[in-house]
Amino acid sequence: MNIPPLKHLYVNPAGDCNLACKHCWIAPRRSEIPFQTRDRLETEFSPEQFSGILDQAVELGLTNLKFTGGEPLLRSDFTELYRTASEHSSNLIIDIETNGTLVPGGLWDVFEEHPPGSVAVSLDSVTAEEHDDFRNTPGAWKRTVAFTEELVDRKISTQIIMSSVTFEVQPVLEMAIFCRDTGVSSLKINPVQPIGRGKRLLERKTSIRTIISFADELHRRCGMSVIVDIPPAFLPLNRIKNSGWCPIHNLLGILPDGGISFCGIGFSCSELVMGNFLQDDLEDVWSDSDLLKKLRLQVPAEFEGICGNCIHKNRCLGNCVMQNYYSSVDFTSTYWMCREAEETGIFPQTRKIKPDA
Amino acid sequence: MEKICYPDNVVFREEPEGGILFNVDTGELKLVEGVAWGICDFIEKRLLRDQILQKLRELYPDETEIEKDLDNFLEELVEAGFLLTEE
Repeated sequence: MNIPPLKHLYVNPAGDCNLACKHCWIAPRRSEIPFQTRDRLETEFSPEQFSGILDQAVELGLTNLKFTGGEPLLRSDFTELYRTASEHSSNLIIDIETNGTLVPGGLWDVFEEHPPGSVAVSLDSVTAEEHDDFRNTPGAWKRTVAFTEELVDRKISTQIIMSSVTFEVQPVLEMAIFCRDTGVSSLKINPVQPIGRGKRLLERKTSIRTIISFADELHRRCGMSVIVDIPPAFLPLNRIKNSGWCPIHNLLGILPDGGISFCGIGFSCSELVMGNFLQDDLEDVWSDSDLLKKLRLQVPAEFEGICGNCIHKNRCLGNCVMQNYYSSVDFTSTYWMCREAEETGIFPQTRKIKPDA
Repeated sequence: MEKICYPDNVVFREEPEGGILFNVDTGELKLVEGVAWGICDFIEKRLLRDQILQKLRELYPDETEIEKDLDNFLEELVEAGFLLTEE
């Protein structure tokens, strides 16, 4: 079996978060003080240890690194971690996903020296009250907006990620106007997933028909400026080319204790932790892990249900294999939106390998 | 390049915004819009290369490079495994 290059690392420096968002798929422990960074915990990898894994990852083909979490900016030594990565290879593109409420010391200086590829900031409403309620933290909205404006002022490519539970169009249109007026590069809408805290949130069931209509309406009214994160089978053709999909075959996630998993899924499913870079050689894990071998064998070749009969399966790769695994302990199971669309008869026939007779 | 057709493992699907060529063996996809979509539809209807050229000349009488553009597109499809040709 061919071993693909390891192009992407999702680095989770902190397992906890200063907010407690209602939809979070990881549901991390909450840090003690809402808007204050904290020192590195003894159980977390240090910048020096981080440098070691970068050496190995670059050898395996690393081109993109994303700091995510937990909240990556919670660690007061984040700037050192960022500098370690940015000085490691001039070709490495570094992205950050953050709630934008914390500014560890030296952050703006290191961004000035080594601008990130992009920073994605979570913002769920143009109204402080709604955002703070969703994030379970009064005062979060004000800090996130100030952080976003600072990024834009510094000409850093900035994306707003807005989570949607209700799939109402109007709040997104208001956010699109906010993005335009602020100078934010793009707006991405993430439907809340039935995983972690999001599982409870989605018990108030929204039909797949509503989600597809929501995406169609936004595409019509906002054009390419709004990205709705739904599987390609539900996107019009002119949207597919510009959409990005999970690079699961070229990706590893690094957990705060050095654990190696597919992405942040290792927080929720400990059986998906394949090793620890503080003890294990990354190349050995990448080439010999039984879990990775299984994933490479099964995805997409052994997809079940509608995912196995979808013309997008080679690129979409089940949309989120780890979400699928979480719900069924199986890499080959069907993504929930596609399964529901098929069950309700609205999965597009033109996107099936074998259309219904 | 007179007779042209899709191989058995390639299907052409049409949607309101364009068409999709799909290789069921490799999973390769090609999205086609505009004139390319029209050409793919002509191929689906089993028109010969010269018949397609004639149709395009009728549709776009002012285009001077239409034959070259058509042949380039057909060549692109052949190279990507989406089209078979016979002289």
